[in-house]
Amino acid sequence: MSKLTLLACSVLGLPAIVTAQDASAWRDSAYRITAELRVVRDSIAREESGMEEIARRPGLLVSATTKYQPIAAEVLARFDSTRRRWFGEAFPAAEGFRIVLRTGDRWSTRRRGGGEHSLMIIGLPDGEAASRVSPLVRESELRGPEEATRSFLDQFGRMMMGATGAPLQRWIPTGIPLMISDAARREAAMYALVTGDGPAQRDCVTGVLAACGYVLGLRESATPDPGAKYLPLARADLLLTALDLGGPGAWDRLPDAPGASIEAHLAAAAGMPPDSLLARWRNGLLALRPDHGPLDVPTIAILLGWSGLVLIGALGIARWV
Amino acid sequence: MLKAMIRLQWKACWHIVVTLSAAALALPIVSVRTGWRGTGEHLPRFLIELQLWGLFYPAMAAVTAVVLAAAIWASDRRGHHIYALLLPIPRWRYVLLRYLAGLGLLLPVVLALWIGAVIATASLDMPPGLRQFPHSLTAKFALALLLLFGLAFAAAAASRRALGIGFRLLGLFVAVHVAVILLDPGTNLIWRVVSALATWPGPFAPLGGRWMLIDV
Repeated sequence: MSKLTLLACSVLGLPAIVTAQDASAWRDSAYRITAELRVVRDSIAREESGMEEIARRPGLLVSATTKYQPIAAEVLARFDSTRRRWFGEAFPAAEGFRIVLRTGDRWSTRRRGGGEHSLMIIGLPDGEAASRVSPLVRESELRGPEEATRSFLDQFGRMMMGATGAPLQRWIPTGIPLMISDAARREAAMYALVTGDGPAQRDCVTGVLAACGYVLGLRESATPDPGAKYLPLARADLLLTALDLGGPGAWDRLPDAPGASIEAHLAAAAGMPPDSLLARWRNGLLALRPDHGPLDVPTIAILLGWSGLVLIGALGIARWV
Repeated sequence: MLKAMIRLQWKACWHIVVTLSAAALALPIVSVRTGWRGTGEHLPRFLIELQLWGLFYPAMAAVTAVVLAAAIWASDRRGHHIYALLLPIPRWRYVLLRYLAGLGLLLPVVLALWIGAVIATASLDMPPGLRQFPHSLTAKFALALLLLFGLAFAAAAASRRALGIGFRLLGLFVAVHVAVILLDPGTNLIWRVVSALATWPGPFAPLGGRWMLIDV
């Protein structure tokens, strides 16, 4: 075979062979993925069909597989109570929502799972257009009623934020921190407020509300070098403070000012002027600072009490030999 | 008699007391100076560093307590308690005198820590919102030292027989713990005891709290 023939074969023949091999590989891969997806879908459907409804509250119901049935009713009660506190009667969609938290088998071949378990809260009417999520979570997130409630609230908060306008989502890109307790969130926000070291942050601590507006991303600064802004956690805390202050219906009032600034939205939710909201938020956080130093009365009592007991013991057990 | 006991113990332990006092004086000063940058820059980082430095306060109290308690009883152990037996006082009173004299040796260490804390915070231009706790921190250190010294003192004052019984009981407890773990892996006796000691109202609960010289 001449060199010319070999070259012609290479140029004309090989690409066709390679293409044919690639296509069959793609086809096989697609078949395999389809089969795996079918297995997963069937598994989810089987688990969901194995769920039992455990309890109902107005507009809500909870279902669970055997493992989570003991905590399901309490989770629903806690979820409903906290949901009403922040969001009132609002749902992420008019047709309701469905949150399924799944634990168990992972997408891994390295460990052997013990089957899949689920806990599900449904916001009625649960129609076709309802918001739905079905994340696979760590078992620790459903360890007890408190942890499970927080996990559901976290998902619910994401859904609710997703239902708000883009400006609010851009303002708190990390979402509402409902996964952590109120006390932990407030303490973190308090530390963020007090330890911020930018010029505007220091001014906010001393009570300059315009500076608070800037560091929370609500207003422009009037000074040339205002420094850094607070983290989204502080902003989320301001939002939750506004919802708390606004009482029932606060969340519904949040988008009541179309085209308005974030500040106006928050003021509408809280039902008070923006400066009043900022002042209440700042004062509330500063009031969280510990009112004593490292030593408090219970600590003194414990240390003195145990010291006395130890001394009595020492006098009793001492021997010469 | 207490004065004589204090003098006796001071002669035996003064070099230890001076060393520990120097360390106590330096601790708050170093903890603040290494992290403080001008007029309150990088405050979150400074407070985190200060919180980590705070771990040294209970550690310092523990070291002081153990070293001084051991030093106080060293002469009695070396002399097989003959000096104590010669004294015309009951045993418990002798131990009490040793204890009170030992407390006298703790005072310079506490005083040094207080002076160090005051020096460390005196010249700082504190930003609004932050507060200083030199007196409160020193009081907590003093009380923690009192408790730990009492424990170390009791262990040092105990006879060999009492210590032997204590170690045997400890060994028995570990054996029971292992047996329980084998029967019921979910039950951890050692962890339960440690938790009881380290949480309210256990004796070590206050040692784990915040030891902040400067805080919000």
